Amino acid sequence: MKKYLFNRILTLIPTLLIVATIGYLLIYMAPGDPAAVMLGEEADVSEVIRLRTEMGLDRPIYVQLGRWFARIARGDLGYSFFLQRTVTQAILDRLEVTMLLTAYSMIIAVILGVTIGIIAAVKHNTIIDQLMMGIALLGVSMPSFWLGINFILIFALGARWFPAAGYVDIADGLFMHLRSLTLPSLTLGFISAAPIARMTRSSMLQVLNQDFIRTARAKGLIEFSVIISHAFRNAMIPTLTMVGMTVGSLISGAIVTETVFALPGVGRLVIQSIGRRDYPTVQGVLIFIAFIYVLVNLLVDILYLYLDPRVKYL
Amino acid sequence: MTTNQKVQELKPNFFRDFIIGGFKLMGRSRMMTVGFVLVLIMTILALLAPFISPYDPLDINPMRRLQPPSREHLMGTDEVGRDVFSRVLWGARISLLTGALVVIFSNIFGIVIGLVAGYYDKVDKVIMRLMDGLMAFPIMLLAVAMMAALGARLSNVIIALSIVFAPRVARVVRGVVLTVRESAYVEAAIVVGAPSWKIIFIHILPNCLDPIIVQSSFMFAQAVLAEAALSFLGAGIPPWLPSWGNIMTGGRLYISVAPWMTIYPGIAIIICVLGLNLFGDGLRDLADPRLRGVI
Repeated sequence: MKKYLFNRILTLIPTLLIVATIGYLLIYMAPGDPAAVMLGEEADVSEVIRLRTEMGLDRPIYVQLGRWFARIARGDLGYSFFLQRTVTQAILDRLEVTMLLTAYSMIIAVILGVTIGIIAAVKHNTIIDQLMMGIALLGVSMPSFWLGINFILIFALGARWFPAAGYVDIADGLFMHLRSLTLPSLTLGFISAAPIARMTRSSMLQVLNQDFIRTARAKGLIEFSVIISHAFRNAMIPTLTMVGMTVGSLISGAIVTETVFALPGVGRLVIQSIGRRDYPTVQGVLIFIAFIYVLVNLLVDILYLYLDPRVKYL
Repeated sequence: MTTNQKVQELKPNFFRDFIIGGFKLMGRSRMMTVGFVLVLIMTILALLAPFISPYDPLDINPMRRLQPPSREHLMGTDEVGRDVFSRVLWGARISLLTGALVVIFSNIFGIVIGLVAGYYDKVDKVIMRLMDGLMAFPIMLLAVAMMAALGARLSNVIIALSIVFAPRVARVVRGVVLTVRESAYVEAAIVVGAPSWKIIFIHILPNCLDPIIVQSSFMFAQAVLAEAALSFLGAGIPPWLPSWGNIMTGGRLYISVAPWMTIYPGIAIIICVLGLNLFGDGLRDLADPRLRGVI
């Protein structure tokens, strides 16, 4: 297992290098000179040249990439001229909101998805099953921002239970904080619950047909314990894979949800930076999120080892 | 009966078989039929938009701004008095066109990359690492960043989303190639000296079609959603063009006074994407139940 872990971590290195390269080269996709684009149309030629030198754009591409890798390795994601601070600092300032939003949404998604999935599997081929799967299908077919806007319409503007936009820090009171993130987390959680529910259902159905479930029932165990501790424990691996994959869609969704609810998170930072043509920030956030995503996938792989002793990877 | 006639009869009529086969498949999956009908309705509405939309989708009429749904304006009007129903109809054209082109381009790139990576060991590692790298970015994030670099245009939305989805196709194709490559008939083809391109395209590619077709319907659904989200974030199709995402984005600012601007295009997206997902689910179950969870 140690050998597997070592190899798995080793394969991260080329992936991360490629991620960093893609992130860096993105600005070259832009038509024209990145420095000129950043400064806008009214900029002097001398200003453009100065910024080019400052950003290292006048060096050969391999020198630029080499410097970029070296900087990332030191945790330096660049400097945002617009925000007047390092990109790392800008991300850290906004990370709390995004992390909490993603965490709350994940909790909602897992609880909702697993519950729906188990109920649908237990009531297989009944109207309840179809209803549950209908809800799940609706979840994957709905634009998250549309759901968010409707939540605002119903629960914020209509019922006035929750604020329509904005973020309250935990320091300003836990209740108000949770209240400010309720609608965004519900939006994101509901959308992400759907794939988890579908996966839970299908893996539960496979497990429920197996002999050891019959044995458990024959032993006279109560149905709840058969379903949760016997069936679900064994159906958890595919569900967990799905949860790991959901992290990516949660981050994607966070970008949109933060914009809908005007939350000052990392996702909104990207969108705002794009509007300002603040390329260093866009690049920095891109790399940062991709690295986190890769690490989460690594964590999921490692978790398998603990959950399923059959997986040895040798 | 002459020999010539016999040959004629033996020749498969691909078009007819395709249609008949399609109907037979439909009969076996209710889910797929419902999905197909929903998508078909949307496609027909999109194609007929110039004939059935009651107003010009770009026609501004300040006298009739923000009107609630009525007999004259089935889905109300927006902040400059444009008819929302007409815009939703025209929006179907743009959203479906975007989705279809994204599916086509990402399949072309993805299939070629997947075939090459799966067949040639030497380049496999390099190509797949590159694809892993691209897939390490969450879909929306990569699409948004690319749109930032490319600029908000319809063609750029299609390019960006194709680059995002192509690695996902490539991974599936490569997986199939790796298993098919070991089969006896491919070995036989190699032994008799068939050129590589022939083995790849004639012997291997047809095996990849099932998963590709199934995946395409899900990709279509995701592309429609992604286009809407990109437009919503202001990194998609230029605001004046009526795509479903754009109409909703415009409506967001007026949500408390004119919710119809947001609600109806959203329902159009849901119907379309739901149809595609149902179709894909049905198709997958028929094609190969083992694909469940893989795609």
